[in-house]
Amino acid sequence: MTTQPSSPETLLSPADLDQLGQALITLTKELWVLKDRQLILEAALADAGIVAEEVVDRYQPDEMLNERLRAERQRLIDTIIDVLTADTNP
Amino acid sequence: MEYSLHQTGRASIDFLIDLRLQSNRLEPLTDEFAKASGVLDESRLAAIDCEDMDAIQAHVAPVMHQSRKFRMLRLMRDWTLAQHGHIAMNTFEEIRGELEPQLRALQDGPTRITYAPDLDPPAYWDGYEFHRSAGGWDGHDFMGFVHGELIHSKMVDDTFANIIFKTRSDMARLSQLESPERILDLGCGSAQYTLGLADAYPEAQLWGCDLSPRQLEQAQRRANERGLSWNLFVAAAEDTGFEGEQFDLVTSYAMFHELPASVARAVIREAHRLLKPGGSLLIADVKAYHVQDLYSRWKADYWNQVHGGDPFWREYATTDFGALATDVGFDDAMWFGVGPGNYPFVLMARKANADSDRQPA
Repeated sequence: MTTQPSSPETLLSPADLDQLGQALITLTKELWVLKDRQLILEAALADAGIVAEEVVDRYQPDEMLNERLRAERQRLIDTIIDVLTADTNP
Repeated sequence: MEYSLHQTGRASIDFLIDLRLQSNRLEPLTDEFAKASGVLDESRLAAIDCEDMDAIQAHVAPVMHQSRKFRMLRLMRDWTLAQHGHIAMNTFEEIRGELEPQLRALQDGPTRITYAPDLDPPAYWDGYEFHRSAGGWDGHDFMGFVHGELIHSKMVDDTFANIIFKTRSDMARLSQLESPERILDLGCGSAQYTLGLADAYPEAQLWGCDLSPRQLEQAQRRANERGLSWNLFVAAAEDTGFEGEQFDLVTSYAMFHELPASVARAVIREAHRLLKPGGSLLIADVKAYHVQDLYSRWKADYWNQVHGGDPFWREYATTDFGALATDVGFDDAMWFGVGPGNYPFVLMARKANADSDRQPA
């Protein structure tokens, strides 16, 4: 005997939506931190050939890398904003 | 203070700043929504008392909440408000080891703090996290650095086009006094405005008071770093405990919007008591409501009073500080906007000379 899937239902209540939104942005931030770290790590490896947490923690991006980070960060944020505010989004 | 952020803190702060800046592009779109909705059309406002901000909120906010762009703008601003204090404190912990000795060393110098261990903090201030900053003014052993440097100098100044320090510095020169001997900065915090006063009046003796010991410690570091000798006190601006008639200029920047109207009045009265005859009062703060159209007033109220962690914003913005200063006994009181968009709003007034027969109300 197989269990029939239950009829579609909305699990989250409207009161949960704000929390969901907050969580989404928090996750975006965490994702950014990791992405930023990855780019820094690549730059540090290229510069010194050393793989070390200390190197990444203390790495101070130069102007060119800062611009690259800014562009990537703003692209990521804009992507999320576009999704959140799309008129076709249910 | 020389310091560099570590990667996680730096990237988190960068993210928070850019989230705020990039999401700002939604605001003009929500303005268009407001206009198209007709919520501010005269016919729909006819039954509303436009001096009653609660009534205006009840009329406008539900309409704006129908806009997804507005709801998402609110969501992102809520996130930055809720998270900025936590991010700043976590950022500090990454560099505490190298920073703490430097911060402690800077507290040793010509600028001294007089603490008030027996002070009973006023209810309007005690435990409240203004601007929804986690940790408030004192919730961390280096909250002065966390707030003054990481939040204000990095997050806020970057978010507001680097005008925070510049505007304060410009205001310090507005008193039109040539060479005040003694200046008191009420609610000086971590000294962002006091530094402007020190630049404008290098010969003056500077006094500062604030309810937050941690913020005063950052003011002390900033002064000592520059070799300045200030007198800093933990005290409420409405009850400083100082002797009367000893200051040429009593001034304050961005404190009054954090005070209930009754306390604001008490502070103006205290300033009058502290000023020498002929002395000047100079107060700068956010824009008053009466120079804003109804929609701008609603936005300021919505984002600050209702959702921004500024519980006294509306009381401040609807108080006529010119009339209040006159009522307390000041002469020549002027309450007006300075600079682009009427920001900051300024109260200038003068205490009568000794030969005047004017009496305070």
